[in-house]
Amino acid sequence: MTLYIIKRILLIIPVVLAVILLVFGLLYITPGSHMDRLAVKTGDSFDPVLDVIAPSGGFFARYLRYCYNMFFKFEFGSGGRGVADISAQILMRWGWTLKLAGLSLLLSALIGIPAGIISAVKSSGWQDRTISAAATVLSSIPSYCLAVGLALLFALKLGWLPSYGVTESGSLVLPVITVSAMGISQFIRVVRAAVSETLEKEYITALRAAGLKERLVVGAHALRNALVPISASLGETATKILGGGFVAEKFFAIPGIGFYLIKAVDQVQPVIILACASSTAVVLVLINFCTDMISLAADPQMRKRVSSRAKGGRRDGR
Amino acid sequence: MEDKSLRLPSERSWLSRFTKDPAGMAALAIFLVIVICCVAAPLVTSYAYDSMSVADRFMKPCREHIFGCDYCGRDLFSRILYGGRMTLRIAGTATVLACSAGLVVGIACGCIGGRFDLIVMRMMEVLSSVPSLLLVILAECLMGWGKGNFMYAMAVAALPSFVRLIRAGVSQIMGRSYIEAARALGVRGLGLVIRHILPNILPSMFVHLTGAFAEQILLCSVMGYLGIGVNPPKAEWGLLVYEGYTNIRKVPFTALIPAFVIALCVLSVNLIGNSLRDCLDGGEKDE
Amino acid sequence: MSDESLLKVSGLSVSFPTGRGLLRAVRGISYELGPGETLGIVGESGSGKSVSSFALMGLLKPSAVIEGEGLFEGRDLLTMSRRDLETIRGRDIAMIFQDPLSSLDPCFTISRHLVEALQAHRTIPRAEAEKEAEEMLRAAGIRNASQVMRQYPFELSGGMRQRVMIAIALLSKPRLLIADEPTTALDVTVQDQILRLLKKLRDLNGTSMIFITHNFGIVARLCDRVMVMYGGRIVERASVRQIFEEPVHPYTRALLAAIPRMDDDKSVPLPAISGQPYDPHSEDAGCPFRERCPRAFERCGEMPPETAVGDGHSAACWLAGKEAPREQ
Repeated sequence: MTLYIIKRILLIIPVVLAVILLVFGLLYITPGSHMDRLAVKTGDSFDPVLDVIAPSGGFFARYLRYCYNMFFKFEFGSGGRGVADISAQILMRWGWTLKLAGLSLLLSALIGIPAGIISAVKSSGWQDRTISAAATVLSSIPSYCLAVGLALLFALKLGWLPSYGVTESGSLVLPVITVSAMGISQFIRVVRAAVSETLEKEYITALRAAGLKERLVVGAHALRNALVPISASLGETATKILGGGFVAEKFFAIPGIGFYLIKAVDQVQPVIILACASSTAVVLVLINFCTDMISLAADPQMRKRVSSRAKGGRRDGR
Repeated sequence: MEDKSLRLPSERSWLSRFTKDPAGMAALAIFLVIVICCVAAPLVTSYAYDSMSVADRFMKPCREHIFGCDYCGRDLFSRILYGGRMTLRIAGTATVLACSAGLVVGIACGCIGGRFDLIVMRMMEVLSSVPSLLLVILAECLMGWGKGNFMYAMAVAALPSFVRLIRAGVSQIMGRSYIEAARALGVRGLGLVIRHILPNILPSMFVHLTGAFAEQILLCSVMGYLGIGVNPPKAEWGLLVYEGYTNIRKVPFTALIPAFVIALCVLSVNLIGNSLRDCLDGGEKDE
Repeated sequence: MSDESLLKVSGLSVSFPTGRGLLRAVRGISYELGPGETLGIVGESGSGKSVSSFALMGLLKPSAVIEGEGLFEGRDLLTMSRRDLETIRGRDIAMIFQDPLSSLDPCFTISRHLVEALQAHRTIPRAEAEKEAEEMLRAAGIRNASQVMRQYPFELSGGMRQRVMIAIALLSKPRLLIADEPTTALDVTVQDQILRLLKKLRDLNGTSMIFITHNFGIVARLCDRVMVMYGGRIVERASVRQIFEEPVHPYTRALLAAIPRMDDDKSVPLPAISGQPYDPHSEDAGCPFRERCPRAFERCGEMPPETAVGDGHSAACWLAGKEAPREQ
C-alpha cells in the first residue's frame, strides 16, 4: 500500500515535466505566433522569448534550466517588460485561486451532495423533478451571465456585497456563488447517478431482506457504495471548478492565477503565461493525485488489488 | 439482414417517443427558432451588426430596435443574431469535429485494443484533466492570435469524452454474441463496424452530442467574454455580455438580454438532450 | 400438510406499469405452507415465481401494483407497515438469492454483514454479536470462519459467498426461508454442497422453506410439495411423488420430458417446447399455455379452474382428470 502511494508520488514528476515540456515546446516551435511581436520589439534575432525565460543554450538545455529554476529556486524566468517578481505574484495569486476554488468546492458539495441523494432516493417524485430541473438550469447559465445578474442585484441595486476587487470584506461571496452554481449541478448529476445506480443493486435488496432498517440500508450501505463512483469523478469536478474560477476571477477582479493569466495573454507576456501554465500543471497533477487517493480509500476492492500488486503478488481480481 | 428488421421498430419507437415528449419538443422549437433567426440574420433584421449611430446610443428597447442599442448605438437585436451566428458556428464546428474524431479514435481503440488502446486512453485521461478553458486560452495565444484557432482547441478539449463514450460502446457491443456470430459468418473489419456497431452506438452518441454542444457554446462565449479570439466589432455572444457589463450602471439591459439569450439557447440544447436520454432509457427498460 | 398454515397466500397478483402497458407478472395465485414444510416453485424465467415471493417480502419497486393477501401467522404481509415488515424480514422470514456474487455489499466486511443483520433484531453488544456470527459461519460449513469474518465479499469464492448468505439468512432462526434459485449461479459440485447444507440446516431447525427453481432434480431432493407456474399462474400443484409419477398439465409433462435421462435413446432428440414464451403484457384471459400446447382446443380460450385429480394434486387444465394421465 505505502509502496503504491510512493510509486504514485514518484509518477507525478514525469507528468509535470512532460506538461511543461509541451508548453515550452509550443513556445519554441510555433512560428508566426503573436509572441513574435515581442521579438520584434526586443530586436534580437535569436529567440528572444526563450532568452527571457531561460537565457542561452539549446532547446533542452533551456528547458532543463527552466525546470531546475522552477522547482529548486522557485524562479519563473527573469522578468520581461517591466514584470516584477513573478514568483511572489504566482504564490500570492495561487493563494486567492485556491481559496476561491476551495470555498466553491465546499459550498457545491454541501448543497450538491445532499440534493443529489434526495433526488436519487425520491426518484421521479416531485423532489427529484425539482432538483433535476434546477441542476439543468444551473448548468445552462454561463458563469459570467450569472455573475452579471448577481453583481447587478447584490452589488449595484442592493449594495450589500462588493463586485470588484478583494479590498472589502465579503468580496469572495459573489465569486464563490458564481463558481458554485456550476459545481452544484455537477455534484447533483454525479451523486444522483451514483446513488440511484447503487440502489438498484441486488445487495440492497438482500440487505432489506435481512431486515435492516431502511435508514441503515440507504444511509450506510447505499451511500458508502456510491462513494466509489463519486470519488472517482471528484477530480473532474475539482478541475471544472478551477476552470470556472478563472472566469469568475476575471469578472470580479479577484487577483488569482486565472486573472493573472488572462491579463498576461492580453498584454503578451510569455514569461508569465509559461509560469501560469507550469504552475497550473503542478496543481492539476496534485489535485488528481489527491482524488486518486480518495478513490483508493473509498474502494476496498481497489485497495486490495493495489496492495497485492505492489507486493509483486498476482492480481487477485475477485 | 435479420437484425435490421429487429432494429428498425425500436429506433422508430425511440424517435416517436421523443416527438411525443412535450418538454423535448418545446426545447427543440426554441432552439430551432434561435438557430433559424441567427442563420437568416440578414433577412430577419435590417440593421448590420457594426453600423453605429451616435444618436441611438443606449436607446431603450422600442419598435425600431426591439432589444435597444448598445454603447455605440448599434442595434442589439442584430448584434445578438450575428453574434449567435459566430458562436453557434464555432461551437457547432468544434462539436462535429470532436465527434467525428472521437468516432474514429474510439472505434479504433475498441476494435484494436491492446497497447494502442492503453496509450490512447491514457492520453485522453491527461487531456481531460486540464480545464478546457485553460487549454483553449493557451492554444489561442500559442498558435496565433485572433485566427479562430481556438475552435480546434475546443474540439480537442471535447474529444476525450467522445472517445471514452464510443470506446465503451464499441467494447460492450464487441462482447455480445451476435457480433461474434457475425464474425464467424465472415463479416469483418470496417464492414462489421458500419453494419453492426455504428447503429448501436449512434443513439447514445446523439445524447452526448447535445451535451457537448451545450458545453461548447458555453466555452466559446466565455472566450468571447474574455476577449480572446474574437475581436470587436465582430459580434459574439460572450463579447456582447462583456460590452454590456461595462455599461451596466447606465443600461443593465444591454448585458442582461444577451445573457438571457445565451442561457435560453444552452438550456434548450440541454433539455433536448435530457428528453432524448429519457426516451432511450425508457426504450431499454421495456426490452 | 398440517392444520395450522404458516403462510397463506390468496389471490396474489403483481403488475408493473411499463411503457407498453401493464406487465402482469403474477396473475392471481393462492397457496399454503405448513410449518416445517418445503414447497418447490418451478417455472421458466418470467413465469412470476420470483416476483411472487419478492412481493410477499415487500422487496419490489414502489411502482409495483400488488393485490391479494399474504397471511404470515395470521398477519397480512401485504398491508403491513414498513416498520412491521422490517421486523419480520430477516427474523421470521429470511431470503437467499440467486447470485451470491452481487448479493453482498462489496464495501463491507463479512463480519459487518452478519453483525448488522443480528443487531437489526436484537440489542446485542458488538463483541457478542461477532462471536455469534462466527459460530453461525461455522455452522454454515465455513471452516476458517474467523478469517472470513475479516474479509470482503470479493475475496471469497462463489460457494463461500452463498454459505455466507445462508449464514446471514439463518442467523435469527427464521421460521420461513425463501430460497430464490440459490444454486443456479454456482458450479455443479458446489451446488451439491450448498443443497446438502440447506437440507441439513432446515432439518436441524425445522424451518419451512419455499424453494424457487427451474430444476426438477433439486425439487426431487429437497421438496415435499411442488407448484408449477406458467405465465404468472399456477398450472399444477402436487406432492413431489405425484408430479414425477403422474404429471397432468401438458406444460409439466413437457418440462419433465425435456429432462435428459441416462436410459434415453440417444438418437432421439430431447423434446423441446415449441413456440414463444408467454408475453407478460398479454391481457388474454385464456389458458396461458394454449399457444404452445399440443392439445389445445377451443375451450382453452377460457381459463380452466384448478381441478383436483388426486389427494392434494390439482391442475389448471380442461383435460385434467378427463383422460388417462399416463398417456404421453
